Parts: sequence; C-alpha cells; structure tokens
Amino acid sequence: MKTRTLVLIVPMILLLVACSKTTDDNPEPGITTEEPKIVSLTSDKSEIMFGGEDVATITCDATGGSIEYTWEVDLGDIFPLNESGSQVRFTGSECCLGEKFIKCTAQNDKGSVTDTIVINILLP
Amino acid sequence: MMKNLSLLLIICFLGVVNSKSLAQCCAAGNPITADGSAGGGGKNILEVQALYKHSYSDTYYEGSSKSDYEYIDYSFYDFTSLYLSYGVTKRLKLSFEIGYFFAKAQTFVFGFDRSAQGLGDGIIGVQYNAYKNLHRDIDIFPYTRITLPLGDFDQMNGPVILPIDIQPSSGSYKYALGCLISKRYHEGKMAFFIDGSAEFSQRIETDRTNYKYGNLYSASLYGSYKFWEKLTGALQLRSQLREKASNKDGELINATGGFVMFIAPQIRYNFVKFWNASMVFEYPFYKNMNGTQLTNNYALTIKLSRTINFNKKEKG
Repeated sequence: MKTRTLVLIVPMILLLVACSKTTDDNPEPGITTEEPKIVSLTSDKSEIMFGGEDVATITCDATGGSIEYTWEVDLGDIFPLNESGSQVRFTGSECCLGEKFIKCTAQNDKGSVTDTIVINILLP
Repeated sequence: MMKNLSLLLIICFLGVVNSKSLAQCCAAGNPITADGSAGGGGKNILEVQALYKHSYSDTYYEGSSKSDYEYIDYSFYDFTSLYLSYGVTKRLKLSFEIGYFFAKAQTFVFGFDRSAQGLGDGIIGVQYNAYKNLHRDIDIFPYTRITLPLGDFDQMNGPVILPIDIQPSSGSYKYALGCLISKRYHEGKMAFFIDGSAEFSQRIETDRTNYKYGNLYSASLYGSYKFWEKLTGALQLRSQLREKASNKDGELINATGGFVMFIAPQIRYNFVKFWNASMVFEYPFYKNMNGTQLTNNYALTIKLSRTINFNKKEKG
C-alpha cells in the first residue's frame, strides 16, 4: 500500500509544481484601443562588436492603445530598458556573430503587428 | 577471449574520446542524469528515482585555456527529475524520465540577469540485456533513448522571449543509441562499467526558432566498491564531445561545441532494505572549447531511489 501511494504521489507533486499561471488578455478598463501599428523600429547602431561593452539600443514605437511589446531574436541577448518594454538593449557573445534579426511585436486586444530590424554582430 | 574483449572495449572507448567533435556553449533541456552504471533490471521490478541537481558555471574557456573574457558573470540551474524503470522481461527494461527546473539563471557582468523555470524534457528509454555470462559475471546492455521536448520553450523575461539556452525544454527531439558493459567481481562487491553513447538532435523548426544542437558523443568508465554492506563508493570518468550547432542557414556556429572530461566521485547508501540514497559530485577537469565559451565549474547531484519487486510480496 505504502509503495503504491509513493508511486502515485511523486508524479502528482511534479505535475502540480509544473502548473503555470494564465495571463489576463483584457485591456485596461476605460481605454479605447484600435488595431496596433508600429510607427518606427530604430536602433542607434546597425553594427556592434561581440561582448557586453558595445550595446545597441533599439526602440519600437507603436500606436493603438494598451500596447504590449514582445521582443525576440534567435541568437543574442535582449534586455528591457523601460517599463513599457518599448526600448531594449541588445548585445551578443561570440556564439552570435553575424546578422541578427530582432523582432518586435506590438499587440493589444485588437490584434498584433510585427516588425524586424537587423543588427550585425562583429568580431573586434 | 577475455583479453580480446577487454582490448576491444578499450579501443572503442578511446576511439570515442578522440573523435573530432566539439561541445555546446550553453545547456539546453535536461542535463545528463545517468551515472554510467546499470541499476534495477529483472522482470517485474520497478525502480523509482528522484534526484536534485545543482550546477554552477562562471569560467570562460578559449580552447583549453581559461579566458579573461567577461560577459555572463555566472550561471546556475537547480534541476529535479523523476525516473521510473520497469523490467518487462528478464532482459528488457523500459524507462521514463521527466525533468523540472526550479531555476535556470544567468547574471551578466553589465548588471542584468534573467531566469526561467518549468518542465524540462521527457526521456523514454529501452535497454536490453543482450549478453549475459553468469560464469564471468559480464553483461552487455545496448540501449536507446528518445528525448521528447514536453516542457516550456517560450518563457519570457518581461517583454523578451528568452533564448533557447535558458529555456527549460530543449525544444528538440533527440535520439540516442548506446551500449553499457558491466563486469562484476566478488559477487558484486566490486564492479566496472563502460558506457558509450551517441545522441543525435533533430533540427528545431518553429516560427520562432530554426536551430540544430550539435550531436553529443559520450563515453564513461565507472568503478564501484562496496566498503560495507550498505555503503558503496564509486568513481566515474566521463568524456563528452559535442559537435557545433548550426543556425537557420545550416551554417555551423563557431563558438559552440567542445570536449570536456569529468571526474565524478559518488557515494551510495542502502537503507531500509529497498531504498538507496546517493550523492555525486561532478567536476570537469579538462575542457577544450571551440571559440570562447562559458563552461561548467561543478555539479552536485543527490538521488533517492526505491526498488519495488512485484514478483513477490515485500517484507520489511
């Protein structure tokens, strides 16, 4: 009996721990939204050296109200610089040399839109 | 016959060690949890094992030398897994493992950090006792394992989707083939194992990611000695070679891949008849990386396992 209990309890604990929170997609109350549009996606540099010292600051400016920004790149490191998430810093280690396509997605309850900017990571 | 077999095994082992392959810069998916020995086995015998593993990395290597390059200050993970194996027949054993990361974190020298947690990969394994010599106490177990990317692969740090090396799941199916050979002396008081395996990763092709991990080749020598009835000490020497990863254009990524040799002392304690507790300290004593890469400093694993024999009613 003890054995069966053990076999059942351990996987159940693992599953419970694995459960994740769901997110609330509702817009802020009282704010009128419209379909999001990326007005500009800019970077202060189009080329950086690999490592942590040479940084590209990228800004995504979108309209539409209650915008949530999402950033992604296949190889490289992006960190948010402001609370809204519209501005990030980008660097890359040696494993990330070459042209990197950094994607900014702006979304709200009316939809989402994506734009891409290219930063080249070079050897010093 | 015995001498020829030993010679063949040593040649195979060295052959794998000297292959021209290189290792990955960053961990992805479940870490290796097998210790290079064959446990459990036997018809209707279930082995349940839970483990906790802590790994820490803070040293960059360029080739086989330490580098003064600074980018990630330190990185660590806290990982747990549940492993079940069951003897379907006297010779055939099926296993399943699922992993969970409590934390997988990186702190950068420029003041930023990021972390992820969640379900890792699932691993299905089949092991067959292809050769058994009772007289010489030698067993040969070919095995295969399939890694299933069951866990989280889209975790975020605020508005940023985390890179693949820090996601809990590897996001890729992996197929491993291996062979484990054991030789016991003095009714199991002393045992030696040789384990060699090759793991092939399938390319990740999603809207977000197009990437292929380098294939992984691993070989290990494992020796154990029973000091007392309940206490066993073991030592594992393991070499790991990982080929370079490739990007979305199929080009090899230079600063990935490498060769690492580990030494892993282990102590195992048997208690209350069917329970085992063990502790393994893994230390990479030789590294030869391609390009400049962050490398592992050490890992500590604590395991608890229980064997359940369904053939007869257990006593005690």
